[in-house]
Amino acid sequence: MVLLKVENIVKRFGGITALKDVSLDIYENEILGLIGPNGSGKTTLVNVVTGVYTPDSGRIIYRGRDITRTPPHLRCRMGIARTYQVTRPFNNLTVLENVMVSILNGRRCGKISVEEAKELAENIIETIGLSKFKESPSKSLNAQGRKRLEIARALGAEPELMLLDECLAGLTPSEISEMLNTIRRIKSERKITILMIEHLMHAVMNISDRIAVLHEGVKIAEGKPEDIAGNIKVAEVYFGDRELALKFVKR
Amino acid sequence: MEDVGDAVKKYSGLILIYLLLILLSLISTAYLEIVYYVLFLMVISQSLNIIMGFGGLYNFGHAVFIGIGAYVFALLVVQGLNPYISMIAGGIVSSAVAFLIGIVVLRLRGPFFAICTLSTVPAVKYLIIGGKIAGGAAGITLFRYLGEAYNPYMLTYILLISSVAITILTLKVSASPLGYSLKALREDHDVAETSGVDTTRCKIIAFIISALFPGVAGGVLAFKIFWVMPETVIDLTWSIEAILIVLLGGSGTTIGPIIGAVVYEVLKDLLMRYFPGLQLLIFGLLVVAIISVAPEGIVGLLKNRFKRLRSFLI
Repeated sequence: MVLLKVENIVKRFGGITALKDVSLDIYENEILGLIGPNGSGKTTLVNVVTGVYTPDSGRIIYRGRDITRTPPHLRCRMGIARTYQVTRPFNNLTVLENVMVSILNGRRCGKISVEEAKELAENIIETIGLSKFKESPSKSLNAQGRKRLEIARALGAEPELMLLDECLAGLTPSEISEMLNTIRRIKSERKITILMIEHLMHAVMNISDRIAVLHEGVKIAEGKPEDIAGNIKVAEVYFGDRELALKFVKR
Repeated sequence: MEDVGDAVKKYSGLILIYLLLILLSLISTAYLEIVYYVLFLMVISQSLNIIMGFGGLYNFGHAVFIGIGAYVFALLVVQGLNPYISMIAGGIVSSAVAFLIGIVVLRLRGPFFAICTLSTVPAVKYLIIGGKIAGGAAGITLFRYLGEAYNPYMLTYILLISSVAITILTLKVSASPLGYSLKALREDHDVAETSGVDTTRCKIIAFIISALFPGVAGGVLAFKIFWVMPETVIDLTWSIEAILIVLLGGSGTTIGPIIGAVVYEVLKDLLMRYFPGLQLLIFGLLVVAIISVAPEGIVGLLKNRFKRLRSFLI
């Protein structure tokens, strides 16, 4: 079943068109990898889906409802949560408080007491492996900790759809494999659909059920990881050279 | 009973300050005057702390709420209404006006919010003068309505009760979903929004709360000086003093503005006594020094230096 439908989205910034008529379906319970070179419009798409930007045309349909004009906080309460590529913790709040904010305001908004929120936040922090730091101000976390906190905060909203914007960037190889395990576990335990933006090819090929490729604001391919790996158009975008791409795809 | 013991211990810093103020007020009328002034500053800066300390919004228009409270008080007293009920009415109208101003100015963030609120002070002042509202520039004199009812102790204790009420309110807000949401939007407005925080609603509620007691204090001020006129009751100095006190004491803490108000008033008095004429210059330098040494205010400084005091500095 389609959870989120992106329909013919166009987004312009002055003279630059960041998204040119992009359509994309995300199915329930899948991990959809979204790849593409720098500046291809991946983060812009996440911003359009979460309501940070309003598209110039096109529609966003979530569970059959048109949410194109819905403000970001209501989208979060409907079950769409995200992480930020450049981590943005609430610096002067503790790790625990960071997660409590999204628990108190996400899908459970108004239905949960501060005490219950605290307990839930402790649970999430434990799942994500930050228990040691729960009382520390979030600005004291290192890069890995911050990436994890981004995910914990998104989980706090109790999402059905989670948009992970480069949550592996800047991590060491061993941290990456830990993080991939965490993401898999979250997905199976909490039945969350995931849209994952990533640059690391082997990671994204490994974890995704399907992959979509953006290039200069246009969706150039969509399909199973193995099909994308053999797609000549995609290889060409990444190698920047048709000869090299052909050689790679044949191999 | 253990809970009561714990609470007394936790709030002992606050209770001590209030007890000292009551004691001082009973010594002599000279002290009463100082206590009155300290409490006035406390009430306005504690109120400001709710929007500025938690929400991170520097409201330079805070003085407008005092002015509105004073004017509502004066207009009602002239009609023959009980002065104490008029004070409460002043608070309520002030909150209502905060709602209307808030809808417009709370769309802005950071410095834009600060500048826009700064302009609300002269806007209201010259609206009254130019529009010849409630006596225009001459204002309304109140002596013949209030001369007999005047009681400096009563006025001081109304401020005391207001201050205690805001302290309780601040503690409640701080531990509520609203408090967490305000702190989140202070740290990062966009991320708060995508984490589900209804930022507009939270800011408006905080703004309304922060306007209530300055409105009451405005009524007290009008009672004290028997005269409301734009130049004296709508004074930007109040806004700036309140902001200074919050920064000095510790923004976003409950006890910060209370300590800040006491320190501010004592400092100002000492400087006035020993360096008459130069007091503002020295005061300015001192404030810069304190803020650069202790960006988290006196409370932050004490917390870092004296670990034992931590549990009292709420």
